[in-house]
Amino acid sequence: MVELGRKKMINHNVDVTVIGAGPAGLAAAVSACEHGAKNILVIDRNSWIGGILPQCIHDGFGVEETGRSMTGPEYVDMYIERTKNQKIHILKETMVLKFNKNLKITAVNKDGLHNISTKSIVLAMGCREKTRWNALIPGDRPSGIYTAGVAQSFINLYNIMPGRNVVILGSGDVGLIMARRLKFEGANVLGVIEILPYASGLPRNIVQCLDDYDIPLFLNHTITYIKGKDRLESVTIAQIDEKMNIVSGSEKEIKCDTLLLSLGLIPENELSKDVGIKVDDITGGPIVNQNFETSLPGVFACGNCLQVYDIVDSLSIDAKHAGINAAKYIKKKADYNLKVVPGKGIRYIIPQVITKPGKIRFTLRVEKPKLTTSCVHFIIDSRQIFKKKFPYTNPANIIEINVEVTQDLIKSNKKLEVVLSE
Amino acid sequence: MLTTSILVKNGTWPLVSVKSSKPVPKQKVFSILKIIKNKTISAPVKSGQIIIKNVANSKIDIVATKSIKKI
Repeated sequence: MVELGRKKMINHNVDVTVIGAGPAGLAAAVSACEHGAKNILVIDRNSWIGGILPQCIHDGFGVEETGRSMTGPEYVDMYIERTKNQKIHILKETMVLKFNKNLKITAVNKDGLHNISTKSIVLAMGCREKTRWNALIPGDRPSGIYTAGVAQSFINLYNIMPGRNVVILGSGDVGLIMARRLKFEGANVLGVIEILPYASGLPRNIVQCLDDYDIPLFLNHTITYIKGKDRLESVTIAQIDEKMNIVSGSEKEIKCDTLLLSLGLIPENELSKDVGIKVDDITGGPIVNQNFETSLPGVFACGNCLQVYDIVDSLSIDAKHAGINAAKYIKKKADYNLKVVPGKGIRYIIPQVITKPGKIRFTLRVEKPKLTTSCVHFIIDSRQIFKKKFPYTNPANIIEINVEVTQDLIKSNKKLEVVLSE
Repeated sequence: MLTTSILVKNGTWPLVSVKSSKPVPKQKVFSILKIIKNKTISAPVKSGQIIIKNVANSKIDIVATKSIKKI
């Protein structure tokens, strides 16, 4: 350890690093472990494990995955139980600042700066809620305006009641669940306002959270003004026509002290973008292949930072695949990895890495033109496995050579050097 | 299931989340919520622990869904 003032520089060397200890990160970590990754580090900036789920105290989690309906905290406990007795180390209250293309991660916490060398990364950073400024609602800037998830954490984790007379904008699932939750806690829920002609949350939540408690849903409506000096005093709602224009004369002022926003979620990918991982404009998450691998080899993505999922069950299924592939990537690196390096007289050779045995088609270029006969040698551990003569060589012409590479050679963990001789 | 939370004394969190052991009939929801609201429990709480047995003689138990450690 290197002393850095009073704080320390802490070095880690691990197989798989998972960024985010929510349901996706935990599922990925457990799967990676079950598929051979030996040393797994999970990093989360919160003081608890489970991400958003500890505040989702309603039930309905895990039905498709386990056949049993659980609450959010119970679902998390199921995964925490699976991380026990495994080689999974969870670093809480730790913020990942960045990682680079060589999979070196920089993170920070109270103990100091952490430098993490890892063989693969699983991104599981989750998503953030859209705010008033994403919807550009005009009006005053009083207190009493919260995103639905923040209000949920106040009520379910911290025992803070955000207000008494509540309007909810947006009919996403968190908003619908909060409508019922507020009603349970004695608040007046004056209505849920939705700009579209249909609700955006799950149909079961419309029935179980609104209809069962006579909470009105205003479809084709939006909020056109927010009024309040210190605390929110009222919102003005208005009807919207098919062309998304406000129907004049339809405005109605609703007195309230609290406005909850359930406007949708945005995948969080600052870390991904910083390192140059390609992000899909539509999903807001990284572009991945069939293994959930991003455009940066060895980096996999899952959970709500990949796409915003409806239910945790399908999120976990995908996250497990990401975890398995992150572990396979390690194995591939550790067990089946023959490096091919250009030696004397050779400028480059492709492929640079061989992971599977067979007849390999190599393409290479020499360094300098030569009009005399030359020979290309393939050498492992000073033993020649193949050679081929050429009457002349020129960097302008790619040389093609097919060489049989056996499993034993790949497993030897040595370098295959390719050299040119007279 | 009916899900809500109960006040916790001396816990690492001020609340513990709870659920009903069986579905609660709609007309009983708010009377049962009132009983739950007036209840306080001391930490530690273990997930699965019955916090209120046979609430309002309904043959329904109120069960913790989270573990809360003592400070």
